[in-house]
Amino acid sequence: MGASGRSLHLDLGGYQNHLEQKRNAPSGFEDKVSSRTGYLRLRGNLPLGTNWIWEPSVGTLVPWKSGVDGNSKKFTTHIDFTFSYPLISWLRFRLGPGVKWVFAFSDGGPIELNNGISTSTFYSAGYSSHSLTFSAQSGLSVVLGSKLSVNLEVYGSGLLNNLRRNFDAAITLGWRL
Amino acid sequence: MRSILFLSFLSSFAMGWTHLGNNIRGWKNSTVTVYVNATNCPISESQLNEMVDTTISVWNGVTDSSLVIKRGVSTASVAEFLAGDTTELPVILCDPNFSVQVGGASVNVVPAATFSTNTDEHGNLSYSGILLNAESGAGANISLLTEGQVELTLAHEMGHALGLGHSSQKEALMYYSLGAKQQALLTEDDLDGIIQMYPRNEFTGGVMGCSSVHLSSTNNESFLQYRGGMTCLLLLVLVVYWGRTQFKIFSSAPFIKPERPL
Repeated sequence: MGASGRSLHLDLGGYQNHLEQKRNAPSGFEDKVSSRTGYLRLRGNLPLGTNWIWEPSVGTLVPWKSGVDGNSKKFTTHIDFTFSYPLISWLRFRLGPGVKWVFAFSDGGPIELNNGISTSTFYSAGYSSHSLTFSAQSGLSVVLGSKLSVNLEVYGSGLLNNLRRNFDAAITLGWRL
Repeated sequence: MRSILFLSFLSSFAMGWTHLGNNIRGWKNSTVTVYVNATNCPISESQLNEMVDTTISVWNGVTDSSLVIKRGVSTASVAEFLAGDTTELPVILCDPNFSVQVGGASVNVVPAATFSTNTDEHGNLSYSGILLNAESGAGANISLLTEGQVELTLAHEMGHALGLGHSSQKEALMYYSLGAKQQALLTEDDLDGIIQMYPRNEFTGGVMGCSSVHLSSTNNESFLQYRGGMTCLLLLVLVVYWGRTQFKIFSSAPFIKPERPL
């Protein structure tokens, strides 16, 4: 995975939401506050003429999150425009901007839930919505040969807002296609 | 539609995020002012305001949501609110006759209730408020709860006041029971519900918080936003500098036309 030519890579691994909340959560809450899921990504590799490589990518969290009732679903995608630079021959530093797209949709069905005294009827929303936030990505890529790499990335969004700052992380194994 | 939503200390089962109605789209403006009136409260006004601020910061911390909650001061009474005669909405009030609203025995297990929801013709919330249990001798009077429990209660009820229904996920803030929770934390389920109702779109303004820059800073929040604005400018300068040094972009160097080979 050097800077020799254009190539396409498939990355597969795990994704951790809300690293900062995991740190602050009391014992027993970590798994629910910060969820883990799979991550699938297609990544380009476009040398820029210097040691820099432009690595645009599209990645999605898999499987789609679904409410237990099946009425609500969430689809999260990262579209990134990362640049990488070699620190040493087998280690590249990666940094760049991106966009996080969250698509939530549900069918508006009624759901009976406990209200503490008896039950009440609540609803999954009868509409879909899109959330688009800019993010910054930083990470390391360990080159394991001409075909394989291990990638560790941290995604930051809301970085300039103390209240909304959020960090996610992904670790993937990449194959050159 | 007006319904009463309870939070109690009972316990039970689980599912996914819900809203109060299938077409409720939250408040029309995603900047929501929550009005507080501490009259009749068994705790001091400053204590209540502090707890409300903590609660607000919990819901304001959702990165992928456009929701911004602020605190205001209300002069409305419980009677005026129940009669639909206040425009300070959503409102938080202390009710010394809480049992009248929630029924006899419930006053000993229900520390707060959200009275909601009226919606306008577009499905946006137009009326909602939270009544805190301030009834003398009641087992769930908020003065008998710890500060953390009151904050949890307020955070849960504020979720209702914003349009969220209950979650079936036991650990979620919007689960009907406080259970063993000690801290108001949003789980993935709570986040999904609020993101779907108040999605954020930074393509229409603001990058990484840069949209929230206020230069007229009079309180801590504005100061943080101001600091965010300075960071935005610094980031822009760094990007331009990096582009100049690495790829000669943004460069003022004259373009030299290559000579034709002889």
